[in-house]
Parts: sequence; structure tokens; C-alpha cells
Amino acid sequence: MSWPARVVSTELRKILAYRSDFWVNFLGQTIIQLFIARALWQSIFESNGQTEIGGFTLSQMTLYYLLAPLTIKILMGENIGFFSREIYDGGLNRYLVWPLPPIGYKLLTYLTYSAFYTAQLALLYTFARFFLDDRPYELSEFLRLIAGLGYILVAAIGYFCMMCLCELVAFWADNTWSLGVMLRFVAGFLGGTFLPLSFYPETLREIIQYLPFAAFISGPVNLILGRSTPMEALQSFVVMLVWLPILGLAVRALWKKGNLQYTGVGM
Amino acid sequence: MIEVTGLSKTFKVSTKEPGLMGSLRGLVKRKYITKAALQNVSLKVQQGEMVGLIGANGAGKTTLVKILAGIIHPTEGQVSVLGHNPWDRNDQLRRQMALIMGQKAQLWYDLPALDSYMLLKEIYQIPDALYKQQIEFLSDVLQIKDQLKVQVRKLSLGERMKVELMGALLHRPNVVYLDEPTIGLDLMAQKAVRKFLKDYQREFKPIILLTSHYMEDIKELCPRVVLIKSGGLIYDGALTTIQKQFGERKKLVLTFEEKLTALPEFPAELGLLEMSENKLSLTTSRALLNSAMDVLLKKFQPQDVTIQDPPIEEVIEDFLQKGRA
Repeated sequence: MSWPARVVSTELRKILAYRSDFWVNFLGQTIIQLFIARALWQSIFESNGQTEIGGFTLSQMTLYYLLAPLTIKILMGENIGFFSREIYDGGLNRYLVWPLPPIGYKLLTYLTYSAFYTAQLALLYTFARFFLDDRPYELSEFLRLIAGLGYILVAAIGYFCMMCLCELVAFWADNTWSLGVMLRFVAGFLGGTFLPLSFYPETLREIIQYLPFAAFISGPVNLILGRSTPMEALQSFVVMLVWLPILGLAVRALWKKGNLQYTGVGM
Repeated sequence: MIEVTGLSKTFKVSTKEPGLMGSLRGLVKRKYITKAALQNVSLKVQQGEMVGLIGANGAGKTTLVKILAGIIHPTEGQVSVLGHNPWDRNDQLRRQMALIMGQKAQLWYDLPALDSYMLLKEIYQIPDALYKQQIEFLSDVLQIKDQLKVQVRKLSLGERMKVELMGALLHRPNVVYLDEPTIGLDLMAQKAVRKFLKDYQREFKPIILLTSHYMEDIKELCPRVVLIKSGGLIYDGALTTIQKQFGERKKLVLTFEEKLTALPEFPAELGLLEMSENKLSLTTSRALLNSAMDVLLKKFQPQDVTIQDPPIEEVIEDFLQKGRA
């Protein structure tokens, strides 16, 4: 087995190490989120007396609010602090001593978590789809789900780069947890986690289409829900692909500079 | 071989006044001080040597180890480890190197050590046969076989250090940096780790650089020591030479047949006289030893007289306090 495969296997074993935490993480959080979203939007739909809001039926809206937080989970990967914490407490030392690229290692661990959450999304969405939507399940829907999941995983690399840019600031500022939270909020807002992008003003939507954020949530989620055409989905995907090398180069430059600042904690 | 020439490292460290006002001021303006962690250090270590780095807290020992391991960049100077610049982070060098920091875990807490070793096997590209052989050999010598399948976080401190050592040595490195490997361990565990390191060094002849605050570690393992004070190297040589050359004090012990009742009068300028049961001990300088002995032997007729060198801990403490002798 190669080291990347072994890294993936080790991370999976870490995810499965604690049974109760695993089940709460896998089912508990999502069920609560889904319940809140359903209750909230049901009351909004009932109070308005409408069957569609912003082009969404109640079922579609519920599915959107199932998919958006799960997509954020995929993007979050190993969670905030995966680099900054190790820079802060000197845990980074081991990656610098090992004969492998530290960022490559971190990307692999991040993608392992992302892949795990992707499987979670696929499972929970399919299950919820049958309960919440009466329409017959078609092959195109399944293909959209597969394409959407692939899309999310590629976008996750972009989000990893953005997280790295925040996390690596720890070389200078030690503690950068708040930067990670800020990124999560900005990505959530401009990506469409809190509200579908179709609800946003036209000018903001025009700006967003040139930024990578739409590819994080809105792009893949709308593709899975069948709310965007393959061409529309491809457009935000291409924008992400254009941003990827830019973000990658920025991470590389910051890593190089930051390494010169690193003290490994203490003297 | 490790070759270090004119190595210096300075750190810029922020400071803050104490108290709430200091914290508030620190939000707007920070003061920085530059601290020289290493100053013009030069040394050579040959393959198969085991060298002890000794110095007070903050003397620069760990900084030196981190530079040699390629973790931090030096401000000035040249370093060559097995012919490589460590901060080039060349894989060829990193495959031959191991770093064990007593206060920093390298293995994953949530997994049994064997799971982490499987990853290390791939990272260091250890052939199957060697991996099995090393697991067998190391777990046997460290007497840790039964603990390899237990989550690392559930092991005792001593067991954890043993599994850490095992993980770091799986790939049979040619250069091993050990930073406080026995810190926090009980006497039995310290002894076991020391014995293991001794056996390992005898068997595989790697370069071992050891920093420790426990003189027992140094005495037992390192024939050569490097003393660092305020970032500067003040001694590099045999441990026994320090004791011979710089052990200024001597201890004279007079043993009597009967128990002593009172401490006799003795000129203070000749040394410190202490009494216990049927013994009188005098700690004095090498130069005053003869005069002090004359005075005591004129007054008493002891059953036995011995002259002892002070413990190495005291010699080194003196040496570090006074700097170069």
C-alpha cells in the first residue's frame, strides 16, 4: 500500500474510533438540522399561503437545507484549526521531519474526511428524497447526484486552499481560529448556505458568479436538485477551476514564507 | 557525520506588560525583543557517536536540535547532516533521520501504536521484512509487545514514550535526535529507556544527539558532552574530562568508630564541614584540600579517610554558572 492510501486508511480509522461520536456526527446533527429547516419553512409557506417561494416547493426547500449544511461539512473536512493548531502547539514538527510533502499530507487527510461526508450526503439525501418528494426517481436524478458529488469534491480542494490561507497565517499570528470562522461565514453567505442565491439581489449575484464561492454550495446543490442546467453548473465549476491554481500558488507562497517564521514552539 | 559551523539563531519575541491594561495595550501596540537562541555554534559529530547536549532551560539545546532536524531555519551558519542541508528537507536525509521530543507526541492518540506504525512503514518505505524484524526487535527490547494494540492515549506515560521511541526508530535511522526522552518518567521507566538506547546504539551505530535534564541519562549514555550556555557552546569534550579538569571541589569524608555528638570548630575559609552519625564531611576546593586535611587530622583520629570527587551534576552546574573555566 502506498503512503497516500495508508494516510486515507489511517484517517478513516480515526473517524471510526469513537462509536457514539460517529453516530451523533453521522445522523444526529443532520436529523436536527433537517427538522428545524422543515418546521421553519413549513410555517413560512403556511403563513404566506404559497406553494412556491423563490422557485422552491416546500419539499425542495427542505432538501436544499439538508444538502447545504452537509455540503459545508464536506468542505470543512478536518475542521478549523487543522494547520493553525499544529503551528501553534508545535505538532507541525512531525510533518516537517517525515519524508513527504506536509501540505500534500494535510490535503489527503482533509479529502478523506470530505469523502466520508460525501458518502454521508449521498446516503442521507437519497433516503430523504424518497420521503420528501413524491415524484418518481429517474436515472437522470441519480446521474445528477453522482456529478454533484464529484463537483463538491473538486470544489473541496478549492476550499482547502482557502482554509490553508487562513490557517497558515498562524505562522505570524499564532492563533487564527477566528479567521477560519470568518471564512466559513463568508463562504456560507456567498455560497448560498443560509439562503439560496436566487434570493440575492441581481448585482450581488453578478459579482458572485466570478468568485469561487458559488461552486462550494449553490453550484453542486442546485445540480443535485435539478434546479440548474448542466451548462449553468459547468459555468460555476469552470470558475472554480480557474481559481484553483491561483489559490494553490498563494498557499505555496504563504507556506514558504511562513516556514521561515516557524519556531516549533519554544527555544 | 554532522558538521555545524558558525550557527546562530535569533528569535523575535513579543512581550506584554502584566495585567489587564497590559493586555489592552498589547492589542494596539506590541513590543518585541530579539533573543539570541544560538550564537556562533560549531561542532562535529561522527557516525556512531552519542553526544549529550547540556544546558539550562532556554540555553538553546532544543533550538540546535530543531535546526539539525530541519524544522527551523538558522539565522546564520552552515549545517551539514549526512552531507545534506537539513532545511532543504531532502527526502533522502529525512528517511535516515528520527526526532523524538519527550514533550511532543508523534503518534496518533486515538489509534493503537500499530496503526500508526503501518503508516510510518509506508512513509519511510520500510521493506516488509525489515518492518517485521524491527517490530519484533524493538517491542521485545522495550518490553511493550502487549501495548501495541491499545489506543496510545490509554497507555501510561512510560509506555507512551516507549511506543514513541519504537515509532521513531522503525526505519532504523542513521541520525537520531532525542529531546528529553525520559522527561516525566518514573525511575524504572527512565532506566528501561536508557538501557534500550544503549543497546540500540551498540547494535546499529547511529549518531545520537541527546538533550536531557537528567544527568543520569547523560552519564550513562554519552561519553561526549556539549555544554551550551545562553546560546553559546562553552564546552565540547569528554564527560570525564569535565570532572577531572573543572571539578574544583573535593569532598573529604572522615569516618569514626563512635557517633559524633557535636560539630567541631573549623575555620570556615577552609570549606564547609558537615556532620552525620559517625561521619564528618568537608566540601572544599582542590587547592585547599591539603591544608584542610592537616587541620582535621591534627584534631581527630578517624577510623577511615576518603577523598571523593563531587557528583558530576554539581561540577556541571558550577561550570554552567561560571562559564568557561
